[in-house]
Amino acid sequence: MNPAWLRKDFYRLLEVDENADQAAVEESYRRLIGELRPETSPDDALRYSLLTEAYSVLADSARREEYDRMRAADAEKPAAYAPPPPQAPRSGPWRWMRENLFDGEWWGPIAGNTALTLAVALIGLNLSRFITSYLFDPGRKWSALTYNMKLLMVQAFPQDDMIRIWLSIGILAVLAVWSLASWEIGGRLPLTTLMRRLRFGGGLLAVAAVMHHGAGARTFGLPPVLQIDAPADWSSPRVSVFLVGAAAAVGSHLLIKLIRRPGAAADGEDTPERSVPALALPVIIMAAVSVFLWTARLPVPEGQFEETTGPIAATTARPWTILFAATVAAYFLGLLIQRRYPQPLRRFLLIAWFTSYPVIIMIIQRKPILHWMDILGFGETSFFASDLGTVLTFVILGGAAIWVLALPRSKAVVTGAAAGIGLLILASTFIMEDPPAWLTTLVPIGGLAIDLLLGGLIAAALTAGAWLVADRYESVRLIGSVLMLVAVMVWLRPMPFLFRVLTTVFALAVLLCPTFGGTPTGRRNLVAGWGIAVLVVVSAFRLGIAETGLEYQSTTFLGGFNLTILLAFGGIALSFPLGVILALGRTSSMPIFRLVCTGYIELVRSVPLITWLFFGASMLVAFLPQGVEFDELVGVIGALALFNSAYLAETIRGGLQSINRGQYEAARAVGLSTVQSTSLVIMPQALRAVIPALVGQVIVSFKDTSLVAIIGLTDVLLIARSIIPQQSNPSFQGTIAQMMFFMALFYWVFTFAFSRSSMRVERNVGLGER
Amino acid sequence: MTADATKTAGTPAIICENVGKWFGDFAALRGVSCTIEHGEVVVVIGPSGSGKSTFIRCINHLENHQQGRIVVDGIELTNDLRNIDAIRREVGMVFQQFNLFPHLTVLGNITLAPIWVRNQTRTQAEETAMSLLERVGIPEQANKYPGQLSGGQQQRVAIARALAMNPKIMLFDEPTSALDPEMIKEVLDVIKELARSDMTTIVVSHEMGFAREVADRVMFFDYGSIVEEGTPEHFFTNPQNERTKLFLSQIL
Ligand SMILES: Nc1ncnc2c1ncn2[C@@H]1O[C@H](COP(=O)(O)OP(=O)(O)O)[C@@H](O)[C@H]1O
Ligand SMILES: [Mg+2]
Repeated sequence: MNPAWLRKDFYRLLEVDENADQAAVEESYRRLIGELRPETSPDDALRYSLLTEAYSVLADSARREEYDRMRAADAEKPAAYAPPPPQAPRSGPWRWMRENLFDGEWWGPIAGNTALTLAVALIGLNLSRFITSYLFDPGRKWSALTYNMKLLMVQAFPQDDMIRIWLSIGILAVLAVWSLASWEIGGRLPLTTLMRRLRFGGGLLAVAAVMHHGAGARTFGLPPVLQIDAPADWSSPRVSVFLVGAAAAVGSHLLIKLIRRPGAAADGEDTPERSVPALALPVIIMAAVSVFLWTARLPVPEGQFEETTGPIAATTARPWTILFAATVAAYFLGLLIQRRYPQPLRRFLLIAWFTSYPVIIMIIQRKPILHWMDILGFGETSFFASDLGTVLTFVILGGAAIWVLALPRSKAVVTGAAAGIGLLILASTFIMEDPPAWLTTLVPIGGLAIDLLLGGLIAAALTAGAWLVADRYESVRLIGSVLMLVAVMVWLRPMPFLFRVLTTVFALAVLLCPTFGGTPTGRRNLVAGWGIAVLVVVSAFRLGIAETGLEYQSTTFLGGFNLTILLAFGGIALSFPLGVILALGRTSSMPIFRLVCTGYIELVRSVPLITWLFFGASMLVAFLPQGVEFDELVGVIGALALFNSAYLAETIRGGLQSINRGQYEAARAVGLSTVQSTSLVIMPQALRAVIPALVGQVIVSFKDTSLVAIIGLTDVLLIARSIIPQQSNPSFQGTIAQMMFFMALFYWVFTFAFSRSSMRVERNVGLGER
Repeated sequence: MTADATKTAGTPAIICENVGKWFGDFAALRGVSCTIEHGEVVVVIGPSGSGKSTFIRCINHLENHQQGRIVVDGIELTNDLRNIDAIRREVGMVFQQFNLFPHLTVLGNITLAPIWVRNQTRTQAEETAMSLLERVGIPEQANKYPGQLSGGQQQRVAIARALAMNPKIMLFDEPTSALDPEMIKEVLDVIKELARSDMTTIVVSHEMGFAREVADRVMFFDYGSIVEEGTPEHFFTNPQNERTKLFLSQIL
């Protein structure tokens, strides 16, 4: 007889009723135990022991009888045998402070803990005093910052063309906000949490504003570290800062009290806590900036301004406000559309993100933005040399060939396709330029004759090979190999650069046909992939190559924050797919692929970034085929992306190696292809495993963009460091310290925002690992 | 179903002829030959390292054999990717370590292949998945992640995942060896129910009671070859081979 039994309802624990027979008890016990994992979860372990105790009593008829008797006797007693659960102790701020800051097990730790807390508080207080007294020192020339905001943002970008910048920012902001709405990122923030943060921030601001050190501080008989400055001049900005901080702190404190008044707590037991969308915060900040720009009258510095640049408020108020309105509208529109058509829209957004970057470079750099003659092919440009002509020719003819070869119905069809490709190659020799000298001296017959001979040979080899090989898939492989040879040949012979690249891609696509074609879906994907590849290649070359004859804005016009963001965004976004491919290559079982990727990674990592930047900006031209010339900016972005990708590849490889081999086997066993297994099962897990390292990498890449100053690009740091402090206006001279302070804040805001949002992502995706 | 039945009526589900497999110099399979009919339930037993796993992994080409012939459902296994994909669609496999995809929910695990390989719509695939979860007895776990389930539940999800591709043949590689004793039964019950339906089933297992109950045939593997095979009665009452006797005496 055990009185402790009485406190537990064994029947309820085992989920049986009081007249259940032994078999039912046994069965229920097995079932409940089966759901537990006592070895990993302490809760389960406790429940396991409870269930086992209940079972040991109810399964033994003698003990069960005794238990039943006890229960019956107990039920007659008026008092309930289960006391109400104890209330969880409420921990207020004072209690928290006492327990965490001034507490210990005996006087030793208590004293140590208290001393540590006080020391840290003093250090923190004085640090903030240094900062605030620096900020509010009358000697500071902050107008150097406000009057040069445009310089910092875009450097010498022509005022008339500023619309391009605003358009680009607008595209990015709208896309970002729309995506946030679409994926419902951000979630909701409890109102009390928001208020608590506001109270803390406001309080800190207010305290910082009155803490002073140096001349003018009132001592009030206090030691120097605690001296307070009572403002003598009520109009100084310092007073406004104090008032704003204090108002925020007091206001939010009162609001917290209001939300949690006892009545609300009592009947609000299960009503959800009031919350606001987390996005409300940035919206409020943007609104505040807009209002500030319209109303603020910034002090005019001494010295004169010939140009009417004026303080930033004058020129940016309208664009900011429009931007603000557009983003808010985009958010609600995004929410609305998302409710209606969930899936297709997200796909559209993804595509929009991918295309936004070239579009933005074009908007900012192109002059004129579009050159219709070269794109559509009329006037001086022949149709086949135009973008549209090239794309259409390659997409239609190449696509048809791939369509046939990916799922070859019969030998005759394959042979026909081979003959067609051969004839095209033969025909193309007529429209090429003359063959190179070494070829004509080697084979002394006329120029065109050689090309015709070669083309004829290739065409014959293709057709005969396709016909002679028994298996039709093997004959497709043969065609692919011959085309690979052709692709090598086109690089030895003068011809338009674009054709070379597209021929190589085509050969590669044909080589992939037997492996990935196979099914109707595989075939559709191959043809679609080919179409996209052609589009990407053509647009990349039209954007990046000076050969196209389209003019660029001189890179010297572009600079500042604009440039930094362009470089960081491009360098990071482009390096991700590259890094993934390199990581897969380095872990692949194909030796040549592995060798190439390993070699690339080791080579890139062994040379400093600065060297690669020089290479991208100026030396790349020497390595490119004649007549091909990249814009300097494109070269630098390429160098950044290539450099980042090597490091990313190694990080991702770490993630890949942490994935159990069984995952890949399971994916293959359910019928997923190699590509599907990698992209749906392996890669998502590998990337999740290395999110913290990836975030670190991205932050480093962002800050590394400041190195481009060395090769003569004027990024935001260069402007702040040497251009502004050296301007002729005396109010701007020698302001390097202010500028560096601002730059530190600038980089911090970006990296901190990024690391916070990545933490949220980590929390969300980490769910699977639990 | 009837069309499939007529198509494959004459041919056995699996034919192995003199199959050999080496890991480096080590011969893991040494000339394995056997024929498994449609609907047959075969339990494979044998000491650890005897090549049981290698054998059934060769059947869906997770390992490629280097000698002999394997024909599954009339399709010969070669290195041709199309054949392999076709066979993997017909053959489901359940692993000792479950190998669920930890980043997907239970429902995501089951619907992944039907959506991407069989081109089903999400709703269609989820409907099938729910009925399969019903069948293995855990419909209420559909939206949990694998890490939140017990071992027995995870293995049942793995079975549902394999079944979602509607395979003709199921392979089980020691499906209960990684489970705590009280969870073994729930998994075996699901396999038993499957074996009683028309599914061709190969189970590597040391659960002798289970073998006796559902197996049409028991194969004993040792040193990479089939040493003895026969009905469960034959096996447990009257084994012929000395090594079989020794092995059975050790585990029974
Ligand atoms: N990937 C591999 N590499 C090298 N040896 C292996 C590999 N897989 C299995 N083996 C070896 O092959 C033999 C048979 O393994 P296996 O089929 O897993 O045995 P069983 O499943 O019967 O325990 C074992 O000796 C094992 O060490
Ligand atoms: Mg094994």
